[in-house]
Amino acid sequence: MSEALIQVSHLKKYFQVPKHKDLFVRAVDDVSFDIPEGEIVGVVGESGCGKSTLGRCIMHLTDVTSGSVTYKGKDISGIGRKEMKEYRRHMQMVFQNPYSSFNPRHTIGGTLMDVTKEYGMNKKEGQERIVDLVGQIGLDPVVLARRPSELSGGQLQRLAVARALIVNPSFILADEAVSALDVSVQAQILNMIMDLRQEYHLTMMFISHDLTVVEHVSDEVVIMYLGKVMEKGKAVELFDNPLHPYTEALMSAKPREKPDQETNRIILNGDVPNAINVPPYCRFCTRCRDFIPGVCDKVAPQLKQVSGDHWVACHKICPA
Amino acid sequence: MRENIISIKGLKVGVASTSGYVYAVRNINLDVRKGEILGLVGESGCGKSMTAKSILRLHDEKRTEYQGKIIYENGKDILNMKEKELEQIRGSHIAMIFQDPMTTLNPLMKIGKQMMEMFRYHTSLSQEEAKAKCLKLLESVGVTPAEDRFENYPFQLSGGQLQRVSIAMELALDPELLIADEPTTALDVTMQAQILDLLRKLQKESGASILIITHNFGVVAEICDRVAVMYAGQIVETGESMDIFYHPRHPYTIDLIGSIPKAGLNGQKLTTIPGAPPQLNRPITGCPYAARCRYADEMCFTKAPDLQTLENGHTYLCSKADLTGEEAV
Repeated sequence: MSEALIQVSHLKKYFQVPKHKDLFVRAVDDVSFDIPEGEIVGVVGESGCGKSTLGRCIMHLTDVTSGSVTYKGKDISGIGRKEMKEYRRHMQMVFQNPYSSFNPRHTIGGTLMDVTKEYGMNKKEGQERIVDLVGQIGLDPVVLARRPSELSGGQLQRLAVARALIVNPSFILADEAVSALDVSVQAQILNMIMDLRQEYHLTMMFISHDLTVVEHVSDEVVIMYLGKVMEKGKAVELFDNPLHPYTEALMSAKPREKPDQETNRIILNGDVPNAINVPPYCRFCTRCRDFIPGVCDKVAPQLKQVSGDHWVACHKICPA
Repeated sequence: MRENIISIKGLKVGVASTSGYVYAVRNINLDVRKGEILGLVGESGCGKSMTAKSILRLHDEKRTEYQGKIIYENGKDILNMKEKELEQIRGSHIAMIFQDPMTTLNPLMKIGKQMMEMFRYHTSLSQEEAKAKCLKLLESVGVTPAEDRFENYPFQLSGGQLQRVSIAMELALDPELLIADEPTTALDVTMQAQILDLLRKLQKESGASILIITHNFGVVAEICDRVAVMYAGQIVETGESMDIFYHPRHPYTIDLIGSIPKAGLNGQKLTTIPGAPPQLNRPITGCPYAARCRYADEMCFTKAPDLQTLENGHTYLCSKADLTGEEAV
């Protein structure tokens, strides 16, 4: 097992509810996991489970309430802007909607040149680097003269990946990077990411609500629900043998691949509950089919190791 | 064969641009049969939403040109109907739900009031009767407690609940055809499963037809009886869902199915389609897919493909009659 490039430990991010001093949205609540060097960690959960907030905390785009994020052993959760900028050379991000992550009034080339300038390359170096990268992502350098509105979503998302690669980072966080794309374009981007990963020895965190995509790219998977990690482990192990009732339900909700495929669907009733003042016991118990009265609604389950690298927070799987 | 609720014949839809009309829908023929769930599949920009909106003539008519016919059940051509006749069909006979429930509903109006408005417009029910009906509808789509939700504003509900509300509203007047334009695209997988289950259940109960527009073959596999695949404004393949999944014939369908990530293939290369769809503002000679097709030969670039029809009603638009898509399966 390779060393952890990024370690998240006991990370909490609470948002205060306006006008209510004692009400908090616990978007991320005591989350710990490692991102080993060279691996892709997938983070899965429904909307509102805190996965994007977790990503923003890791990238230091927002302050954390408590806990720490370390990069190569150095805690970066509390450092200042200037110092963080140095770390941004190593940690880059790709967002969901490429149309809103590129300035519509600038040419693509201009936007990319800004990045090279920001990180101290001179004009010539910058241009060379950009032309080189655009070739690597399979586009013609003429796109550099275009504006975002003249390009397709797929082309732009490729360029968003290229932009992240300009500084030669060792870590990329992709937040729903393929969710807005058509399947055929999604396939292109996923293939491209897999190729670039080899070439750049990238470590990645891949946030998505799409289990199929996460299963396709990830080495390790973290399942989140209402700010908590429900289950984590090696992707192969976790997808073959999901233990947490929530993971099982998520997996069963995947659309079938063929019309005659049998599915044993577990329908989760209702929605994710309100994240304001969540209960001190198991957060999933209101929708869980394995709910044990007197246990699940009394005690919060701890994340426990069930085998090698497989961790689960559930009273049914790991009785207290 | 069952009767058709809608029969689209030779439909062309042009949108005005500075250099004349651009045809986003180019000569399509499509039947929606009574009581079936038909999936219209294709990538962004292929003309699937344009087709769907044409059925209710929802385009800005000053900037749109229609050619061809859309024959409604009663034998009349929707494209020739007077606005008044059309008003009678919209909502009560043919209803439509859209992709983003957050933008379908008025954010400043309570859910209940919006639902009541529809009854006031289309029926002669009294206030109390209409309210009772609304509450029943909300319950039938699982938006509970209905009394509370009736008094809520859209922002107080989640995306999944709002999509349920819009389904309830569209089904309120017992339409014979429900057009659903990407009804689950904005939702999570768990919510998608719930909404598809709901649509299937409601379809069984009412016997209505559903036309689902989607780019997701997973949705097709979940609920569609038949599929039509669209590419560059044309329907390139139609058939029973099972047939399309196991024996796709058109190279585009074969590639599209191949590009879906599948379980158990962790880290393997996905099939991709090189290039991009053709620009529709220029004339297309030959097969529109030829430039991206791995089976194309010279003839494909010069001669427009013929429609091939197999015994079981499976049709596809390709000059290569001998292709079978077993490899995609």
